[in-house]
Amino acid sequence: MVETLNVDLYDRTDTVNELLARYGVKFGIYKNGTFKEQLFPFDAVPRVIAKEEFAYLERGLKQRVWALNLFLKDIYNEKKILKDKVVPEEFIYASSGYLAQCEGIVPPKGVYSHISGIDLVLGKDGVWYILEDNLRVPSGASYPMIARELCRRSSPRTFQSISVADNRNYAAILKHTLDYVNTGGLTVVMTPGRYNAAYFEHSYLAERMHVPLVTCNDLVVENDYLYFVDYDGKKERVGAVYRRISDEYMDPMNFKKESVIGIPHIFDIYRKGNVALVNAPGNGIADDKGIYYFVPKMIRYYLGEEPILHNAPTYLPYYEADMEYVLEKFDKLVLKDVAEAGGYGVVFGNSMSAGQKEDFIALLKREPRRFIAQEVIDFCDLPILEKEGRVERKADLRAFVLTSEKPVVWKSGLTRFSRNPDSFIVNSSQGGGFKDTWVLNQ
Amino acid sequence: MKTLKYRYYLRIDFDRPVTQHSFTVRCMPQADDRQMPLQQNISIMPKEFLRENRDSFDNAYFFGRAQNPHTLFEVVSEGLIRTGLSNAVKAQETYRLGMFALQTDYTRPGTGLRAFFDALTVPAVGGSVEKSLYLMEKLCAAFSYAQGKTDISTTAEQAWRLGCGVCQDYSHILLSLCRMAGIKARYVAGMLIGEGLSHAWIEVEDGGYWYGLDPTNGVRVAEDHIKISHGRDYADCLLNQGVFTGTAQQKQTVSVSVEEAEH
Repeated sequence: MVETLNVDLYDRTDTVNELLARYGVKFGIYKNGTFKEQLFPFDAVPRVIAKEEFAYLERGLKQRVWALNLFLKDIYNEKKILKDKVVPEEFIYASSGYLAQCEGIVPPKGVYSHISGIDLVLGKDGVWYILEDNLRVPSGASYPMIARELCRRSSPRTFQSISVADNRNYAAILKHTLDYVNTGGLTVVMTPGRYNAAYFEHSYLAERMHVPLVTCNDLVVENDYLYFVDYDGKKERVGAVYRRISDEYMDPMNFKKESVIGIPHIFDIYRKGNVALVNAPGNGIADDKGIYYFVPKMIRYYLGEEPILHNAPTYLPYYEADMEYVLEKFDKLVLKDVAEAGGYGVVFGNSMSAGQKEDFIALLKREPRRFIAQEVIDFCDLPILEKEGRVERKADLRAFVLTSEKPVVWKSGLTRFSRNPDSFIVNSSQGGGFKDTWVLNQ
Repeated sequence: MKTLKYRYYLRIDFDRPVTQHSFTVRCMPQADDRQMPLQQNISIMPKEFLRENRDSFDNAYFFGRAQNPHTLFEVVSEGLIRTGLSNAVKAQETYRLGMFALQTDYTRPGTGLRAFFDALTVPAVGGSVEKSLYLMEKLCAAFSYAQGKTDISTTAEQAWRLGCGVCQDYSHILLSLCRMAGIKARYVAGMLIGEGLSHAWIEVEDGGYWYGLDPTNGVRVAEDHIKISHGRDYADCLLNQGVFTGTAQQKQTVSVSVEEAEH
């Protein structure tokens, strides 16, 4: 039904893309040391998720994010999960995501992962698999937000005839999430600046929430509080910072001292509970590739429930039984170096020559903790509209879970696709595009 | 047991004015099982504000900012402290100490330190203290004290290859050796009786307690050491840090004096 009704929207793909360009929906990339901005190509064929299916995803995502929050609180405080040996200590302390500076800190209202971007794929077996959790500075919500807005404007008929859950409430949910942890004063969006890859998103979210968009130059710590300094030099207290800047660059007095985009002492007053930093610093320990393996165990450990959503089947060569399995099924698996990110350190067992394989297995045996192995998931293609007509391409889904009193799943999400027919990599910096994600009301 | 009078003095001279100078100083001794401050005073000039806090290792620190143009920054931390109240400090539960078992960027051994360690015969019996004392003895026999050869960025492996260094280097190398031997060990910044600079040593965990070993002097820590802070390595125990606006060159002078108080 959706298919036939959408034709009007599909005919207006170019209009929507022109509007997106006019509104500056771009992302920046650094290539050979220069900053370039690219349009993020929009494909009008939405990913459509049925009401019941989304309800299932919603339950699973809430459960997962709640457990991850409990894990973060535990790791930086009581450490029960280490005491009970559910997660081995070395996986925590050797991870680059673990920040000793965060020891003993409970953020305002105990929320660590206020905004979680959970990446999923739908397998050809009809099962949704979690690919990764992004609990630091997940981006992308602004793209389906504005795309929906422009699609509604370009093709109002489509939305009269199909009942799609309105996703334009993201700003309201986000504002509530930030206000919930606000310790008194303004809520602001902090951007590293104009040349950040996601600057469009920073400015759009600030605008939609009606809160100031600030850089480090607008904020100052005085005594035990953070202040926003306006053009007249007037100071106003800030109680929550949605900071779109990584932990390492946030405060030169507590992290990388060469950072010039941070705010000196912001972490010191955060430690005192006088400002909320969103997301909480130190979250990298919970979205580490090695820790991913333990998320289902965390759900059982903290919640006493069976995980609703599945991880991609993952093995830790650190454990003997898993090592045996990995060596036996080596050619069927993908191996990932837990220390690497952004697609680096990922190798497919079947793509190695005999010599490479031998070397890799020797390394694996020497440093088993460094790797995880996963079954290769054959995930579903989605149709996209190219000049030559409809073609099928790989796509994933980033779901957004916002946590205040409880986790809330935004009834939409960012669907990214690869334009290259042979590629599984849907990353926007690899030339991919995006789709809106429709959750049906009926 | 001794009562020590201490004075830590830091002065930074800038060759032209700087502004918006944010600073953090971690130079005030704290009470623990081994030492008890009797009188303490800290003064920092200039400053527009100054606040106190405790870091994730429970070290006391002060942070603040000097906003207006200045060419001189001074810190004085002085007081009276009783030391040697115990030979050890109670540790947290073992499962909370995992970070002290792992090497850091400063302590991670390269081929040099690894080979040195492999050639040693660490006593198979005995606790961490006996093993660490053995490692300290071997280190002291193979490494010598020299100023000016290493700097604050020198790693354990680099210092080891040079064959000489200062207290920071001794401590990083001993941390590296202890951690290779599976002993939980941490870096300590502090002061030692006499006149000079600040000092560094290590603590090793044994049976739920931390014991101090001073590899620079080849001794166990008793009454002559005043502890300021501890962490995984030097980077966790910086006595002072600062960022400022301006292009000034800075010259830093530290002088520490510790003497037994008259009764």
